[in-house]
Amino acid sequence: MSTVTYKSSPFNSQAKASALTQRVFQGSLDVYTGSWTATQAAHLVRRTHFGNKINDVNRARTFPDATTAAETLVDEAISTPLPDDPSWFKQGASGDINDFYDIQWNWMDSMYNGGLLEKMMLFWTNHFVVGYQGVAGKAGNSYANHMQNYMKLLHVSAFGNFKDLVYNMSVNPAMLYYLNGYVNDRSAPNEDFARELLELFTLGILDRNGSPNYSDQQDPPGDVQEVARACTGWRVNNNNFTSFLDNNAFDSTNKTIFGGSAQNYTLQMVVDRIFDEKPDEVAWFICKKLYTFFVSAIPNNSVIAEMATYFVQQNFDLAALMKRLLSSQHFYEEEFIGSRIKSPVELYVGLLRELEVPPNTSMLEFLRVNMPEINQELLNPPNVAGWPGYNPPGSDDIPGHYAWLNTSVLPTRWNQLQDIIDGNGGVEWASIRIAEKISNPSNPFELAIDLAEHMLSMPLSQVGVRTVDDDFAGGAVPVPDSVLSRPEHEQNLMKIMLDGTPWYDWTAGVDNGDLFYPNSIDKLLKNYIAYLFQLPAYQLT
Amino acid sequence: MCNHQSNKRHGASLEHGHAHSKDHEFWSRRSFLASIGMASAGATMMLGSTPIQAFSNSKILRRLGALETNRALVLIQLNGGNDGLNTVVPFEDDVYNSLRPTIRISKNQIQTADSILFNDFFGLHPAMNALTPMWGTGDMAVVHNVGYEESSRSHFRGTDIWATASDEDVNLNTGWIGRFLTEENPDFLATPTEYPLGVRIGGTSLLFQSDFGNLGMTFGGSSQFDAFLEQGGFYDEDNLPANSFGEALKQVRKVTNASFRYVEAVQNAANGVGNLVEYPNSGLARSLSSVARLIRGQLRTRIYLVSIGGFDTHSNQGGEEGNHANLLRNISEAVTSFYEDLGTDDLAEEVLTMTFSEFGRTLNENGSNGTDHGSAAPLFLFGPSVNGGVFGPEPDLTQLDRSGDPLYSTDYRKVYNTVLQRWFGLESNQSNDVLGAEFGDFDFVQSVPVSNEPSTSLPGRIQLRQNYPNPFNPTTIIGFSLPRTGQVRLRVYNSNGQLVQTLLNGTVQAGAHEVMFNASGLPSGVYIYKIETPQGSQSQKMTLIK
Repeated sequence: MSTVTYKSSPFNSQAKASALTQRVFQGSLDVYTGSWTATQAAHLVRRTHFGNKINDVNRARTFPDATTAAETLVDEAISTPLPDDPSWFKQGASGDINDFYDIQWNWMDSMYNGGLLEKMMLFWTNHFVVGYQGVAGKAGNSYANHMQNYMKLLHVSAFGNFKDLVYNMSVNPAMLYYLNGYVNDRSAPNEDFARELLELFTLGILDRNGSPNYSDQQDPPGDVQEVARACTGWRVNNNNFTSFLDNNAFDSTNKTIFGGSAQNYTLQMVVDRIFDEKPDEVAWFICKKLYTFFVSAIPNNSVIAEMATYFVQQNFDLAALMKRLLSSQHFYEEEFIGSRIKSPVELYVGLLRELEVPPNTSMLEFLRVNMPEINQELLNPPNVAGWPGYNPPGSDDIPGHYAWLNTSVLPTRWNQLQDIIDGNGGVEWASIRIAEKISNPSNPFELAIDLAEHMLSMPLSQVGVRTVDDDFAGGAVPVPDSVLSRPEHEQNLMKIMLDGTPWYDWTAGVDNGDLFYPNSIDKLLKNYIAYLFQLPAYQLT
Repeated sequence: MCNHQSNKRHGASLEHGHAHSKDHEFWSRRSFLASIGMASAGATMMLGSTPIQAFSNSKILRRLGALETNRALVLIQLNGGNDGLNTVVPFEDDVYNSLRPTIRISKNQIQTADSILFNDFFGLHPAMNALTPMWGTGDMAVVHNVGYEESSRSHFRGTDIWATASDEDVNLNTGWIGRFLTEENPDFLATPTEYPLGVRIGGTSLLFQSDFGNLGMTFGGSSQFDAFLEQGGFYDEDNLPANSFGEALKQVRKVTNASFRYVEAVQNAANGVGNLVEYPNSGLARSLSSVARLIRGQLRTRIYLVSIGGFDTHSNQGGEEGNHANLLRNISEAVTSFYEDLGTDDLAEEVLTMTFSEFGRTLNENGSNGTDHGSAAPLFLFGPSVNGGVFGPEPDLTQLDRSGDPLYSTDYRKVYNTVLQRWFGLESNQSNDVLGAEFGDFDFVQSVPVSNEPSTSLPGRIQLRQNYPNPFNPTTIIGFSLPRTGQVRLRVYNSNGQLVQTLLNGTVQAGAHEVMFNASGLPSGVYIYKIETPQGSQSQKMTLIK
């Protein structure tokens, strides 16, 4: 195994001085020591939460540096207590689909209130895929209970030891159903789980150099086939929703895995064998997926290699890896800010969080029902490989996140966001409240910019703001020089928000949040918010 | 953790997962989507691939089929509250002259050879002299003193009220134009048009707001319009950084540009046609020049909104010259150029232009040579189809409201109603639906000609017969009769309003005629054929099924 010594960069002092504009650190997991401003804080929150809630950004700003910020967020995620079991769960299997929907509702509710834990769980549901419909077809009335247990496993393991998670997931009842481990019998081994364990959960088909990570043939039996035999015998108890090894169904003859001596491998021994024999390959594979999910859809192989090395050094401790990644110079590179296309759940929960529209039951149901129209339903990825939008590029090298958007779903995204702000999602909300919270609501110039910066990830100069030819409306009181000296795109945003209203009338109409024309102001603000979310840049996080 | 016990239990079983989501369609109106002209919405209208049945019951096409003209309305919004009394000036009025000592327009200034005088008491501000030719040919109407009960003096409320056509104490969330377009296009969601129902180059977006979302395709001005044509969409796909962020944004912009169903219709209309006169150098003139291109390019959009700001003249308003005079001059010159442009190829008669502003200004001038927020003000209508002249009762500067400004004499919705009924041919019950009540009308514009009436009741009228066979593939015969020999143009359009073929363009003898239309190479769909003669025009629809 190669070792890498982490040296502090000679450019660190410059980084402090010039913050984001520096690009000299690319390819380094060294700690980010540049200035810690709203830009970095907001980027961290966007990537580790579902959109920006202003309180989360403000809090992140108060951390002295990236290391403290990353460590705090990860530690808080780890210490988040398991929620109480829902009442239907305690009452046993009912077969009612609403029990399962409750899992989705609760999770979205947690996404609204929480952050990194739910984001990491989302990552894992895309990695250790269990589609609830696949479970429902096999587990009878108990599928919702199994899905709830699957979520609980992810909750407690999200930042734990990766190897432990692989094993625990392998014997999780929902997984046993989904990939047919529950019928894997020594008399006729079922390769489904074994193949995905190697291909999707730990190694990937090829290593970083393009060589196969394992063999896959019938004669002589390849690694897939031998692992399949080692995974036989696991069954599910539908009374207490646990799994157990049925020795009568377990193939206790010797198997050969990755060459070496033949042994009577069990599932646990298989996991040990994978991590002992191919730690670098495992680390590379999972780090590439984490990188794609948290940093950029275009993988940077040298950074991923650094992550992998560190992950092995840390004995596959996910918390250590994530702390390192989220505090790295590389993570805060300017080019990664706003470089990922939002997935549907990030888009919707993100908008709610940005605008502080707490989801009630109607809204949660609105999200649940509408998200599939833009190609995502939580806990129901298209197949065992997860959503292409979260994954590294395939052999065509096209960034995976492009899959989230096409000319059909983009307009549907807008449509549904509009429904939410129009109150059709079931929550009526007063737009002035978010204006008060993030800005000075009676100053339309500041407010227009603050709202745009709040909702958009990247510098406003890069978002492609509509050019407004008309001067500011009114004329009775000159627009302050301090406004007229602002960049053109900022003035355009101000004009778009004012929509022909003389600026001094806005100021008169909004006095410390007391609205003289609440209906008019609300319409103008919602119009402006709709303009912002229709900008292509809003699709990026 | 939230409690979902109270949540409605939708759907019965997992097997019906798809039905589950359909249960909730009511939540997800396709509206917004359709209204902004996006390509999908599950209701993508591609004539080539949509069942013809989807169209045969469409009120849109029935209306299109019945249309005799492509009548369009251009609204010019005067942002800030135009000072009506210094626009249509009561120069002989002692009250006016005494309450406006510095900014008043004097009799001498207004009674000149070039000025537009209504009579011995009223005349237009001399800065509007550019309109003299239009006034002379009867292509301009003025409605005196337009307003409403308890006029709001807030820019917000005033703008909202004029945009929504509401009473002073009623908050509406849809614009009168949005409601008109909804009335006109009830099938819009099922079969969205390939062209925008409204185009907005400035002005308040609320005007186009409808229950289906905002129906106005918005441009920030003529510079964005030009960029749109050049880029093939609203967003520049080039000139982005070559890095992670730039690549991602480029991809999203590509998808966004490709998603706008209107891109093609707008590009087709505006590209390849230009302006045929020089326009003055002003924002309003540039906006109107863009509108002229779209009209010339036969975009079927009926409503255009442009705007000009700066009317909130609390200080240094000026008199014969000055800020307000410059604004009025700007409008006059821009409108004049617009109609010269349209007139060069006989398009002007299909275009009515109307001004409006959120309120008039105070009768008294204030201490800083300006005027404050008032109530009523005159409106202007332009175009060769206008019956030129002055309409409505004049303001009486002695009959004042409780803020000391002249009482309005004409409800603004009477002007709107005239446009809806006479210009767009709405029945009174339809326009009442749009405006919420009956407001009466003026005759400042010629009524929409009655179409498709049996010719026996109108002897000597041109007749355009239903094609035979219909539906057809690929050829059909179109018959028409002319009362007298003359210039005739017979053209076929697709349902986007784009010209497909000119069947006839020349002098034709009086009597009955037949022309064959060969649709080989055209996609299935509904087509409109239209005959134009000096005596009028008619159109019919026909259906090609391959």
